Amino acid sequence: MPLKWEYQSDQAPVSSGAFSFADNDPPAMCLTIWPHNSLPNIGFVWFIGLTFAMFMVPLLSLLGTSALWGMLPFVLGTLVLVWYFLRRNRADASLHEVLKLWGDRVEITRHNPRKPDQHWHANPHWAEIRLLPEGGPVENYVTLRGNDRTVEIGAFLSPEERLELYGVLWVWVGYLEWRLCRCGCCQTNANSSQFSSKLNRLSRAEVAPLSKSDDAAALK
Amino acid sequence: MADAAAPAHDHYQKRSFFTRWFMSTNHKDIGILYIFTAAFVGFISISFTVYMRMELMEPGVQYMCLEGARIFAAGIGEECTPNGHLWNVMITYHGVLMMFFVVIPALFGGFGNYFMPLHIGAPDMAFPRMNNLSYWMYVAGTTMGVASLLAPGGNDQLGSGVGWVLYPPLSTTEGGLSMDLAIFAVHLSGASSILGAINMITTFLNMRAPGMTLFKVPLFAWSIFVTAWLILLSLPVLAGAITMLLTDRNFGTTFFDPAGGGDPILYQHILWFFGHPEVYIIIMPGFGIISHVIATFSKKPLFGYLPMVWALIAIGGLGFVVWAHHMYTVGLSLSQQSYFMLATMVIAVPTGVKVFSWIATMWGGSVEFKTPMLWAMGFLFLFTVGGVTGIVLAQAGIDRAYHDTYYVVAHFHYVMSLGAIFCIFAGIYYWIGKMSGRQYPEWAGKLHFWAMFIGANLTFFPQHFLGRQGMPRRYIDYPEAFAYWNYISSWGAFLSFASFLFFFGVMFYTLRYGKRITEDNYWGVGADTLEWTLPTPPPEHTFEILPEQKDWDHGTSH
Repeated sequence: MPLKWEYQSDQAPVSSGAFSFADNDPPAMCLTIWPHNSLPNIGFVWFIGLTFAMFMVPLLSLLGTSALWGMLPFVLGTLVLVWYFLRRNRADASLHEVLKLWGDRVEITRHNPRKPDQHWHANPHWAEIRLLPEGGPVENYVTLRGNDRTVEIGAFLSPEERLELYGVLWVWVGYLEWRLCRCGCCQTNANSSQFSSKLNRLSRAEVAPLSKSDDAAALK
Repeated sequence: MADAAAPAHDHYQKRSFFTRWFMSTNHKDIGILYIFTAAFVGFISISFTVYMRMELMEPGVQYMCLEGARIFAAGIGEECTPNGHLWNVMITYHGVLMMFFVVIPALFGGFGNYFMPLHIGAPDMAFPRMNNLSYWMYVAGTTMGVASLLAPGGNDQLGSGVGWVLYPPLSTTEGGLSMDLAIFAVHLSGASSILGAINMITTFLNMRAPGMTLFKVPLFAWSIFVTAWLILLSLPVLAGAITMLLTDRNFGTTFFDPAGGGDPILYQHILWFFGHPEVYIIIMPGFGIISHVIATFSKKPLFGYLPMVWALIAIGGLGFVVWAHHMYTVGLSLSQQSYFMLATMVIAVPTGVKVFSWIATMWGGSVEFKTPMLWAMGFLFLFTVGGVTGIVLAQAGIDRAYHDTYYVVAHFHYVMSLGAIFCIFAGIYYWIGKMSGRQYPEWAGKLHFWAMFIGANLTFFPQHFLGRQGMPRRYIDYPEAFAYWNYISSWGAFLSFASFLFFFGVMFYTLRYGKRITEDNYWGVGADTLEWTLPTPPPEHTFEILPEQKDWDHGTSH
């Protein structure tokens, strides 16, 4: 499954006890998501190696004739072509999105294959996480709204993965905000009651059941 | 992009006819384009054979006259000087069109494009626009091939009469620009196939559904991948060879001219280094189709999946090291002949694995002889007959007698053309409901099958006898002694042609008035690949959400 979650909850910064972007704390959660790709690097090596070896069969038999030079550009040209296209396809699939979450900042960077990276950030308190089950470009379309911009996340994941992503985002945003407030470093009006109301809304929305036990533990 | 797309309804806007078919990047549309174009070119190519069989029906020359080609036989008193050039042009273009512009585009370009991505659960090909480029290069190549037929060529007539293998010195001395156009046509078709192959390879390697490891990929997708690899390895060699032919013709090089230190036999080596894999390129996607058809109509999973995959790979690999069995008579040393003879016969092993696995799939199955299954049975029979005569021809000693006789013609038509053509028809009847949403009338499919099966055997089986009697191939005329079987063979060809015309009628009826099907999987339990989980006909975009393992991984039983 092309999602990688990295939690920092075990190593909460000692200084504040919260994950505050303003205090240069590391993000509490870092999520990297990428599209599915079925060719490992070793597969590429094998394929090119075997292709090269097979190409040598006709070339070896032409050694010592002028026809070798007639053949060489075509054979090697094809090898270069298949190399280039396999790599290019891999580059196309190197698209990935990184979501970093602090108590006071949510940040998404999208790394595009042949275009500059795209960035978006907002204060999670004001950020609006939305799930559009139907009618979006994809089923269970997840968007975040903040800083006057709506961005999508994980459009290339499977619908189930997006549903899970949505649930986890909801819970973590609330949890971190609550944690931030507990240390008295609230930059927003958020308080724990607001967090619980957020959680209530979450359960009413009936999003995916939280599968990760550490999420549930973190909430306690 | 990271910006969200508004919940838009114009995502699947209706495309105009021109946009859909002329600027298509959709693998299904391109697959359909390939199949239709191949059918059209196939019709041209088949009509040549009918004309040839008309000529060969009786001894003497009645149709291909120097005074003008005739549709009706010349009468007793009418002047008819044999026009050997026209005959040579017919055999050349029948071969070139069939080899490069009909069978590969139909099986590899057509079914490969349409169903390979579906089988591996990919949303489209890896490079959709390159896919479009491949198709149009194929069309351009076809156009150039037909232009070559009509352009001034050798013997101050139209077209080139050098045989599809384009052996020098015949091809380097053929007059006119027809030969050059033919070379360019093959270049274009080669470039199209290479780009197509790269596309297929990338798609197959990079875009398999999550969990679909190499040895879980359905056999048709595997056969397309092996075919693509063979194309990638062999067509550049052909491109190099015919480019040297082109420079020999036009720029005074002597790659294949002994007068300048070249070697015409070298061309034969290079050509057959491409040519032998080429015949596997033609038949291999057919193997894939037949595997699915037989499993479907036996209502059993395929017997011996893993050996089947390895047999495909082995046939592909061995195909590259047997080429000189086409050249036993050019003066190879005894040890060379021994090697190529043994290597050739080794191919019978993986081929046997395939044939026996197909039979074992049917064993104990609930076999149902619907039209696609009939075609698969026909294929199995014809391919096995052709395979057995292949073993005969593989003997260097026996080949001395059979070389360039009608025995060879019978052999390669049994394996390649009939084998491959029966696969195409099996694929069409198997999938037309899925592709069009309309089903063919069962009786019509069966009638087509029986007419074609009888016609094809009637055409080619007597040619074994002609070959054994010593009738050489590629001649416009023959002595009285060969008349009997030639007459029968011609009637077989006419019956096959009639069945082909009937097939066009069946297709027209099916696409216009055929019974609509709404079921996803109208063949039932045996059809277990991913295309049968899709609606019929499939929507424009499929697997935008990747399929899950449970959709395609049925283990070893249903």
